[in-house]
Amino acid sequence: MDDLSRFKQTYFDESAELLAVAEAGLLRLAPGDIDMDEVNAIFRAVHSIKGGGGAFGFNDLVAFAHEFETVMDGVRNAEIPVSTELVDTLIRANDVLARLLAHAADETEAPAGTTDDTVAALRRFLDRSGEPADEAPPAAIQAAAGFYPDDEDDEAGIFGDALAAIQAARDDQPARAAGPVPEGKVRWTIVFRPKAELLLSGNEPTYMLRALRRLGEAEVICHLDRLPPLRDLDAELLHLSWTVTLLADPQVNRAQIDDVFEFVADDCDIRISAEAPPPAIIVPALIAPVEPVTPAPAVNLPEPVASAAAPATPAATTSGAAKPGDGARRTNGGTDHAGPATHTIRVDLDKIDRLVNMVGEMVITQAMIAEHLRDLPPGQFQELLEGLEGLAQHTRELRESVMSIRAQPVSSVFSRMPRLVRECAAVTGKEVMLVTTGETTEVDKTVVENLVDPLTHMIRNSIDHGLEGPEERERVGKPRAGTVHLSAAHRSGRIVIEVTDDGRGINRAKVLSKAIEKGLVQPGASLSDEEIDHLIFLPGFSTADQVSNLSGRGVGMDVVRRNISSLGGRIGVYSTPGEGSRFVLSLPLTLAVLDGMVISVGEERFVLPLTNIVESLRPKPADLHGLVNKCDVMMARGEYVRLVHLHRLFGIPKAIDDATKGLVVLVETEDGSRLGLVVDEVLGQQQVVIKSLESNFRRLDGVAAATILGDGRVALILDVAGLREMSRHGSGTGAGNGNASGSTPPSPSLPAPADKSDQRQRQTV
Amino acid sequence: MSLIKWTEEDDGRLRLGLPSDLDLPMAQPLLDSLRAAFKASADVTVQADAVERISAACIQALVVAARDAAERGAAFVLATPSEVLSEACEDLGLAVWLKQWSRA
Amino acid sequence: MKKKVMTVDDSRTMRDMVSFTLRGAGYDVVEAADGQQAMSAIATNKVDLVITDLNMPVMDGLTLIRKLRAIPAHRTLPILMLTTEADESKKAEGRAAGATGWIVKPFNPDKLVSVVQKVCG
Repeated sequence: MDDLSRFKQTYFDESAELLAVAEAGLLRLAPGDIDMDEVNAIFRAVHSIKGGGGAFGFNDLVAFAHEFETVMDGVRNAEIPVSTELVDTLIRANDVLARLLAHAADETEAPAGTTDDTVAALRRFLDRSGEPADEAPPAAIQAAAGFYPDDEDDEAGIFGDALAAIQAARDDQPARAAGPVPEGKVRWTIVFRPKAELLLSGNEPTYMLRALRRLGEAEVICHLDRLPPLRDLDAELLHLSWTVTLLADPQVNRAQIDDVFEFVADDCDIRISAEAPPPAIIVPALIAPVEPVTPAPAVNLPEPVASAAAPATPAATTSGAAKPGDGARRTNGGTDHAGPATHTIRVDLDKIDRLVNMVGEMVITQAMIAEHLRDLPPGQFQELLEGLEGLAQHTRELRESVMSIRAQPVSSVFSRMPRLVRECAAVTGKEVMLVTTGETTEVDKTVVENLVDPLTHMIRNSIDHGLEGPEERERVGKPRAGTVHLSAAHRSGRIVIEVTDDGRGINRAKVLSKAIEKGLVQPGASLSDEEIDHLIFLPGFSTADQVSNLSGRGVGMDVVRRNISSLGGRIGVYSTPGEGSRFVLSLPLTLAVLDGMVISVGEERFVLPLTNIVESLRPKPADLHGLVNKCDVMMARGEYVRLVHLHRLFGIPKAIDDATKGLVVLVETEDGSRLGLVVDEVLGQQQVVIKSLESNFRRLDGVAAATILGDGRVALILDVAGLREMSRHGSGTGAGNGNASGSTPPSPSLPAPADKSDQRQRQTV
Repeated sequence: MSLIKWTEEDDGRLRLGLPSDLDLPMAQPLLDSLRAAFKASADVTVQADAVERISAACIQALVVAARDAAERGAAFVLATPSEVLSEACEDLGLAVWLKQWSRA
Repeated sequence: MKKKVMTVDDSRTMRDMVSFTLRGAGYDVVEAADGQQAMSAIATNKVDLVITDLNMPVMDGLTLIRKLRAIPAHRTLPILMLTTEADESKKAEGRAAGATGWIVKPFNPDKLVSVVQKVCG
């Protein structure tokens, strides 16, 4: 039983991956567009899940997987034609399989009848394909008997195989005690039983085993039991078989072992299993991606929308073919060979978070020591200072390593989107093509997790509001199918995610009149195009002519904005009427530590993210230009830059007002616009640990978070884009904080929030 | 049927000189030779120092021959196995077997 | 004893790359520009492995494989064919013609060497 439970978790993890593979394949499957490799991949995925399930005695699951597999087999052999109805049924079957797996994992029974409808639907396709109606005993009975004739060619069921292999290895060498696997190693057991004809293709086991031995420390046992006597031996037929125990580094993966047998896969029976030492070490995980730490997304998929699953309307039948374009990647590519997680280890997330926290505290401590040493007489304690420099360097590397443990590719989120698009397309009757790029971009796990809801809503929004129906598109000379492009990329220390559609763009007149109607904007207010576009982020805003199924979910773009900003991110929209809209999300890569520049304004200390800083300079009087409305600008590098006096914005007394006496820090926001911040002094560069202001206090405009400086003082981390908005509105209204430096509410260490509700609503995030 | 060259020594021992090339097409001649050698003598030495290329099929033939000799109480020796042969046996998990049957 | 590999490819670049890589890994290499040349070269060279492209003028790779397999001495000679990722059907066709295995293009030198080692030591 020990062996079983050891592999169970791996089975569930692998099954989750396989479900995702199957789902991705099914979503791409469409009548007239059948990629047999894909079909085979789906078949194999289901077959593998069944095979593994059999090993653990998950009979219901196995019985259902068998039904599913049988239909896939029919598709594979072109006995069952691919129709939209078939694809929908198969997707539903995949969902049912996911549910059964979830029950198996929880060790709960699936409610009676869970599979009935789907099994019936699946069988209808079999009947239609001309095969005799299923007269075999019900699958469940077969499952109980544990007998599947088609499993003779078992190509899947890695875990069934693994167990068998372990058993085989034990049978072969009963006296050999399988000792514990040494730390930092993985023990593979490979049972290789060639068919007699293997040599005839020119393959040579000697070299294959030699290749295997190159992967680690191998012990090869040759089994002679099937050798015939001398007089019966056929010279060119092979009767030897082998069990190889390979002690390999964690970097060696299943694919490398599979590779050795690549050419003889059809000519041998090969069973591969892996054993790793108890998960006490973290070292491999520091190097390896940590994807397996979270369950793969497929398991958590929401139940399918009923209307999408039952394509009753003609629109859905024709438009259900949401599929990725050429630029799209197979997000789950390569999982066929993933095998058991050998070069990754599973670590409780709490442990990682403790580590992250500890590293954060260490960064602070290191900064404090540095601060104290600054007071030392110069020229002394040279070695101490050098040592400290080394410590700072190592702290930085440690921080990056720890952060990379938490990093995950955004593909785990992106891979959910094809399904969403399919559903939305079916519901709205629009034809949609989803293109994704940059799925491998990595970002902190928390950020990834929190992207699901905003992205879901943004894509829904793009399809529901942005894209036109196929007929309308045709009328305006666009392709019938609209395109939604989802992309991710790293840009200057942040991750930028864009959702672009080639729809009709934001209808500004409609947005404005709606905003006025709802009292969000004063009638007659003159707003720029950009400002109008951003009105859609106001709470409760909706411009759909009628409440559609999609917008009936009760989430607005304001919630998206709030989600994003709670992650320290911003959202912007760029729209061109008739051509489409582009939503740009910019998020920090990590939520924990930041490279910052500490500046002083009066008695206060602030931290500016280093990524925003262009340079700092002291302007000459001739560089400064006053404008009406107190908005100062400065000539910097041949460009006019708006000056923002932080002390005015935040109401800080005893600060330098004259930029020529203080300093101007030139900063740049993600969208490239520049701003000159007038400060007293620039104190130096420092890594700071981000402490959320929202979870400890509340959100403040112009402030991204707080931190604790080396001397123990609390400082606020400034949000440059937020500052720009504040200053713009401050000067635009002429009555905001801009000229209120003497009368802002007293707030010794926290700035006065600009909490006038109307003003706040008009800010972009 | 082509046979590998062998020499008969004075004491009735038969010495089979393995060629350098024992790839798969050579497995049949090797097997035939081993059978013929055992028919002719109860003491067979296989001279293996020249082997530069060997297929698993040929090693298998040697393994079967050795077992056959043991069962019949006949003498069988692999004399001076070449490096290539030793390495191949090592790869195939037959190093112990080779040690048991070889003589330098 | 160095193992000898024959690379059959109408692309000179490809032949050079294969030769260079394999020589660096300790193999002898003979080159042929098409199936016909390979057939005549193999009559005078004992090779341990043939790596052939499929699409070649004069005599294509599959024909070469079939012709080699028809010669008793080369019945089980390891033959690898160069194929592209998408060519699953080609793989099957090659296997049917008698290929030992395949190398998927594009490949890196390490991959080439490891595949060659796997079939001819």
